[in-house]
Amino acid sequence: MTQHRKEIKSFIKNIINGEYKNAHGNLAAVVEDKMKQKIKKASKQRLF
Amino acid sequence: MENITDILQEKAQDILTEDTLQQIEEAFNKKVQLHVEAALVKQDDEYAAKLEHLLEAIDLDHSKKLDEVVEAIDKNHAEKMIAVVEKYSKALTTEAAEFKNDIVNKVSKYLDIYLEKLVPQKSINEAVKNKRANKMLSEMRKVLAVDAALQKQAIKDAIVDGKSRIDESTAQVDEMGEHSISYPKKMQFLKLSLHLKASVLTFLKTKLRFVRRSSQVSLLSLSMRTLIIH
Repeated sequence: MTQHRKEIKSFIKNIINGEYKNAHGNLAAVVEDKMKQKIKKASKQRLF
Repeated sequence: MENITDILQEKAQDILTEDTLQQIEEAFNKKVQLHVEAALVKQDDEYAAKLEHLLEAIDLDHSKKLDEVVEAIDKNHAEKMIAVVEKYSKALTTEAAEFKNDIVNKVSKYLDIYLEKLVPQKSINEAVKNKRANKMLSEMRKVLAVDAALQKQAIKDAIVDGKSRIDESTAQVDEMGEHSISYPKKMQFLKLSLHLKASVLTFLKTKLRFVRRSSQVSLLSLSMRTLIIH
């Protein structure tokens, strides 16, 4: 949770400073983190 | 108001001539003028002194009042400035932090919603389920030794036939094992009897009979024991 919050903060900061390449990297990290969380949540459910 | 000439004309009409009266009047007027000027100068001095005093007092009062006013304005402005500083420092610390957190939360929520729209949790759940089911199935195949070749009916029959044959062979081997345990004992008994036969040939017939009887009894007892054991 804190990791992707940090990434979002960096993303906003980079957008404000006009460093769009770094901002893209931050956004990709956030999306990756969120997708991992989704998969983790899905893996917790029982198969049978 | 009557003129001095008129007064003197009334009182000394016959005594003083017109010129004298004129001169007296001039002199009187000059004197009066001098007195008046002196009085005016004196009055001016007095008034100037009084005015100076008054001005000093007014100045003092005004300066006091102005000092008070300046002090009050300074105090008021200082209080206002402190309030402004406090407000902006608060805005810079707490409110800015709140705003930043709010923005981060909103961006996070937006991304959540967008990702949910793009890749729904339901699909991920299904994909994960499929993946796990496939993995489990392959593991089960490994554990149960079932693969694509073994799924055919003909191969299944062959395996069942092979299994039954292996079971039969195992049963036979067990049976043979039991026999193999009993044969060496029988061999020992036979050897013993042969040895006895050979040794007793030299004995007398009576002794031979006796020995035969006793050996038969012992053999009988031995065979009985083996039978009991088995």
